[in-house]
Amino acid sequence: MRNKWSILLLLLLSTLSLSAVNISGTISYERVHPLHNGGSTILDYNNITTEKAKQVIVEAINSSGDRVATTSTDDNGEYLLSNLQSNTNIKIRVYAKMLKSSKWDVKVIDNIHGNAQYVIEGNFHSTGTQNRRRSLTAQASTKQSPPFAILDSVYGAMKKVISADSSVVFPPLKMNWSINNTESGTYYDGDDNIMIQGDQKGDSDEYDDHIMIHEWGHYFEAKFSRADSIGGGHASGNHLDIRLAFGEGWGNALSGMVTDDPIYFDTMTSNGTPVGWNMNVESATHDTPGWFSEASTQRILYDLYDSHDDGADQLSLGFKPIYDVLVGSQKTTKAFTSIFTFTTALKENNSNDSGKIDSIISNENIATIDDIYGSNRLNNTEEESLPIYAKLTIDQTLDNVCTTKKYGLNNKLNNHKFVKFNIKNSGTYPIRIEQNNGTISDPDFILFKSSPFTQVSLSESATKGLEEDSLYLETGDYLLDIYNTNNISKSCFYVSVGKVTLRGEKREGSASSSNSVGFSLPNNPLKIILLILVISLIPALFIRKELKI
Amino acid sequence: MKKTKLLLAPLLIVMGLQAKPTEETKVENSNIKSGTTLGHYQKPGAPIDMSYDSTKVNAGEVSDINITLTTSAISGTMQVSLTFDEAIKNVNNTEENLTFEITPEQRSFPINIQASSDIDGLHYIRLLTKVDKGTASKLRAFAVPVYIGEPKPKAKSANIMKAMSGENISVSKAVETIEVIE
Repeated sequence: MRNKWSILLLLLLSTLSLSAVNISGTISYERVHPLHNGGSTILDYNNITTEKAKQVIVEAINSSGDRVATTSTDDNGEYLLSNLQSNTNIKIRVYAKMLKSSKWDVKVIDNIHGNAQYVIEGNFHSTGTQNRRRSLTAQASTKQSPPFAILDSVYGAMKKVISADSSVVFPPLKMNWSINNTESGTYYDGDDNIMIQGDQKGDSDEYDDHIMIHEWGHYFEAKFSRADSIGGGHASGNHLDIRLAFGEGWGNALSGMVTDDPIYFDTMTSNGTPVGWNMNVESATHDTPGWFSEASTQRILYDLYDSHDDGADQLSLGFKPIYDVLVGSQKTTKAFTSIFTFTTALKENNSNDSGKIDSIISNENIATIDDIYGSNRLNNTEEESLPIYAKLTIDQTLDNVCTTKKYGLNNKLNNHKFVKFNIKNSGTYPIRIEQNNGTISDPDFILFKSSPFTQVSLSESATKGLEEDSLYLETGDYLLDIYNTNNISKSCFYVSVGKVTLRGEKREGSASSSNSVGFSLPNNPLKIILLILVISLIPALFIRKELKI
Repeated sequence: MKKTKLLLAPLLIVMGLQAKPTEETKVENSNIKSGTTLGHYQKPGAPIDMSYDSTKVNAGEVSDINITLTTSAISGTMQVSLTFDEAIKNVNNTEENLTFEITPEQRSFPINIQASSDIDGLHYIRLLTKVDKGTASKLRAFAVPVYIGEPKPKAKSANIMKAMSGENISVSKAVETIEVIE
């Protein structure tokens, strides 16, 4: 009888130990908030709030290190791991990673230490025999929270896009953050990485959500729209290359749209003291506004979006019309991406609001935009700026296409000049860029086909004063991006596709195509005579040998 | 035939007909580390780029660090605040707060620093820069490396492990609360 009871007890215990339990909980992280004071912003470590870690991966790990269950948190940071074995030791592990099949795949990794995926975890505890809540918090003081703060900023941006298009699928993205990212800078690499400064004694960006969203905006532009931006240093008061101005203005404006907070800020530390700056993407002082300004671009985009009408801004389009242009016409436009391509498409899509769009544009000292090439501009920049796109006719040399350095180097207005032309008959065409105000410049060019928009060639020889190439061109529209890699204040060029009807002065050396190793003909008459003599000597030498003279 | 070659070679050289690569090869001294932000993607901020040469030296030796700050601004003042890592000595007593007047002709500003350290490793001189034009100024921060002796491995940010999937994970213990659901 006693044995019978023992067996029953054992059966009961084994049933209990094999029964399933659920573990649920909240995953949180601590966010350090900014403190604005006029134009300066610092991180306020007296203002840390606990925020929900949304859509992050949660796993149950057993004592052998095996994953026994996995799920994701919801938008409230809540997770549920169901049907776990009771009375089993497990720990909860949380990845700084958002993964949803056919939706998104974003993770924060330590690029300094083997691209390790950041995780937080609890201790091993028995699952017991009853359902439990096990909640974890990533702390700011131990630098656990930055990866989750970064993810939260990205998730906010993705949600904004999803609000305009619920079917969107985001290509994988890696956010590279480390406290040892001292020199990396914060930028999007053009592919699937965003680098993030994490220098705790200098510049770190993990809690600067507007910067995270700005960089994500570049990722969005590259993956969903089209980014023709040439990159490089920039600031809101600069006269910028129009492609760069649009890309940067878009990033700044998006940060305000996603957070619904127009105060863009960047915090850092200097000599142990917190420092930083901010700008209002909607109402910052108009410092040299215009079609070349990233600040004008950001104000235009933000005013088009926001529901706060003021002054020239009497329009509240919301995000979707902006999104529709970016993933539509902006992606396929025949011109370089700029405020001109964007505004032209926006007006086409929202013709009833054209007047209000013009009003917002006009408030930035930009004349009404009627086409993607920015024709009919006000002459409020140096004269070399206009036209923005020079029109070239095949077999007719275009005169005086001038690059300048007045507004700075590399990526500023007029460092690059654009020429458009049309090929009516497919064939091989010589393309020639020749300086006509001297011979010391180093002109180079990139040729793009407008539709579908593709780079056809890059021509960057070191020849002084001249760049030329011969290319087979299909029928269609083309854009030439001409630039001078020498640091000369102003260089003007003859530009020809096909026959050359104007030529510059003679120079040392001649054409050589990009990255080539070849022979160049001398243009010194004495050298040419010597060359003819040598060529005529060769057969004579052979004849002499054959005749054994 | 040999005669032909001998005749032709010098003439070809004289006439510049020999094959030559169009790109120059840059020779660098392995003890001088260089870096630049010029032409790189940058977040918004002060319109300033930074380039540097930093000479790698042994502990106790003096490293020459040549920094150039370049701005696209054409007026205003550039203000620079230098901070040296605790392990670094500012040997030539470079001013730690510098101001440069920007003009259309003067947009690049060199800062020459001599620094030393008794501690091997990678140290930093940090620069906080801004262009003051009388209105609210944006900032831009830079870090210039100072190489002393053999670099130490960078401090681990957390415990690096392999997950079951084989990927590296950087693990840290979180604050955990547990409660039984009645």
